Amino acid sequence: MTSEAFQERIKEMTGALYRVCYAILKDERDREDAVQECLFKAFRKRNSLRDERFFKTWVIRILINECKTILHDKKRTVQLDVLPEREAPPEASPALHEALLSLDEKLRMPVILHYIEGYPIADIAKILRLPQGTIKTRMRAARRNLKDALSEEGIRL
Amino acid sequence: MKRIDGEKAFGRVDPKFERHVQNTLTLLQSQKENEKMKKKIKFVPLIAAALVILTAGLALAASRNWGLRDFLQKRNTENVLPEAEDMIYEPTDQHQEKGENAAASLTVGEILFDGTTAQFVVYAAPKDEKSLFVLPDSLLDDCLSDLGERFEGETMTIREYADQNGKEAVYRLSFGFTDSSLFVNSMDYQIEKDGSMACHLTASAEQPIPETFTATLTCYMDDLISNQSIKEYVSFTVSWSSDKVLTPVESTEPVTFDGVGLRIDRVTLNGTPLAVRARIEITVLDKEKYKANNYPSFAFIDEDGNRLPMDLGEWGEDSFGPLDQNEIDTEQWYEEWEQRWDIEWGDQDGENIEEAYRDRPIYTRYVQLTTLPAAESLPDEICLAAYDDSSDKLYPEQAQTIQLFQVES
Repeated sequence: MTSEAFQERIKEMTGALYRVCYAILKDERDREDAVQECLFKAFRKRNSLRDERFFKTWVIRILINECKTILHDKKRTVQLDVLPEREAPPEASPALHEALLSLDEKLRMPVILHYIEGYPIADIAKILRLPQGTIKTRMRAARRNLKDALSEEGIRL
Repeated sequence: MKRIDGEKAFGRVDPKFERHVQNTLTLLQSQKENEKMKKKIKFVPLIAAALVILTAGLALAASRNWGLRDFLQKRNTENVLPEAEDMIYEPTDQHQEKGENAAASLTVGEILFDGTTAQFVVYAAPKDEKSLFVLPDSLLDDCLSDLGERFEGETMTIREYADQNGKEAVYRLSFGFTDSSLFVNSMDYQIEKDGSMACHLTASAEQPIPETFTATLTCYMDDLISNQSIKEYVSFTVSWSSDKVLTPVESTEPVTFDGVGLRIDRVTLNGTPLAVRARIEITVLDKEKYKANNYPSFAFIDEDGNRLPMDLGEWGEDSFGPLDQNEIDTEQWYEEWEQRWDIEWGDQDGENIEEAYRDRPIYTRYVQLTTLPAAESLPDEICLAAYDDSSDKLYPEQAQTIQLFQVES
């Protein structure tokens, strides 16, 4: 993959990169670090990707790993419950924002990748390195939790 | 369940995040010729740039261009020796090679180079009034006042300004060296009153470099309106004098730090008017102790047991690498660890990440590079203590004094 093609593909998926980081990391500087490290790694290894059709899936997987590395490092140095909770951005629905972020992380990521980013179950399984059945089970549980949380607010998905 | 609108879920993409992605892509592009991605580029935060602009305000008012001396005088004097100023020079033999459409005129203002770290000030001026130069992280919808004092108090966006002033191109500028001698570490920018851009670059040579050589600087210009990218080039002679380099000193006896399972085999100090640079060669004697103490590195400490400051003037950070590149193939090292780590994430949902980290492969022998403030002479004795960088914990009980001797030339 040429450097120019790499740049174009990354620019196209900036929104997805942001939302994946946002779903995992509370601090905006951590999100910037995660995406920078992800792009360095992906750029360095871009020619090792055998099939460019999997580029987006591959980059998202690297990014999730970078986010988790930062989360892990942070857990060693900062008490996470000391960090302030996040308020919904102005354009977001506060109820939906809170409902998504209150999901357990293992349930949250499949929902975000499928219902927001549009990834099929098979791709999510590749990204998270989990069997498709596990993804489906988690999405069922996530849907149930989301519906419960949002119905209390009078919102239907 | 229907698709969820990403904006309703988490809001719009944070413009700062978007800039950071753009910035990283620009720098990846500028570094691509080297394909040397080991070193992470440091973005100088805008707040730092703002400080420079504020402190250098008087000098700027008197002269159009932001000079390297302004930078040294206002930000760096504590870390460099006074003779550093004598090392600043302006290249006289520079010439701009024809770019793709000659959209910018490039001039290298001043250079300061000690054979290891180089600082440059470069000016880029638009060739016509139809072009507007903006910062490497600017977006069209940013407020014009973000571009610095030239637009202070303006409330319109860059896009609105371009529309109202007949600007047909809005170029985002960044720079990189296209030869492999120097690698850009940090960049600091300012838009001048006449619309040109002054850029302060810090670069480093990662291997011995001749006292005189030709460098080629590429200016990457991304037009935010047309999304077209073009390049301009300027070549010039870079020189430095080994006369300014102090005779290096090094240790001759290995020193063991039993508590953390490490041995320092050799410490070498090199000094110039810009910095003292230390190379510490380390052997891991006891991997379990090393891991149990969270992979410590070494810090220089003073007589009172306090850690000596690093030379922030170089934006330095300690860096680490294998002593023998053949010991572990770096790429394979990462591949194997990441693969194992991914599998553990997938299988264990990340619950065993601590275990994955404990299983991280480590070098048996590695090198730590540290930069300290410049000194008139190099010491014949230093004190080093084991140090956990992640928790900022110093192990004073693991401090050792090491004798240093001049290296025979």
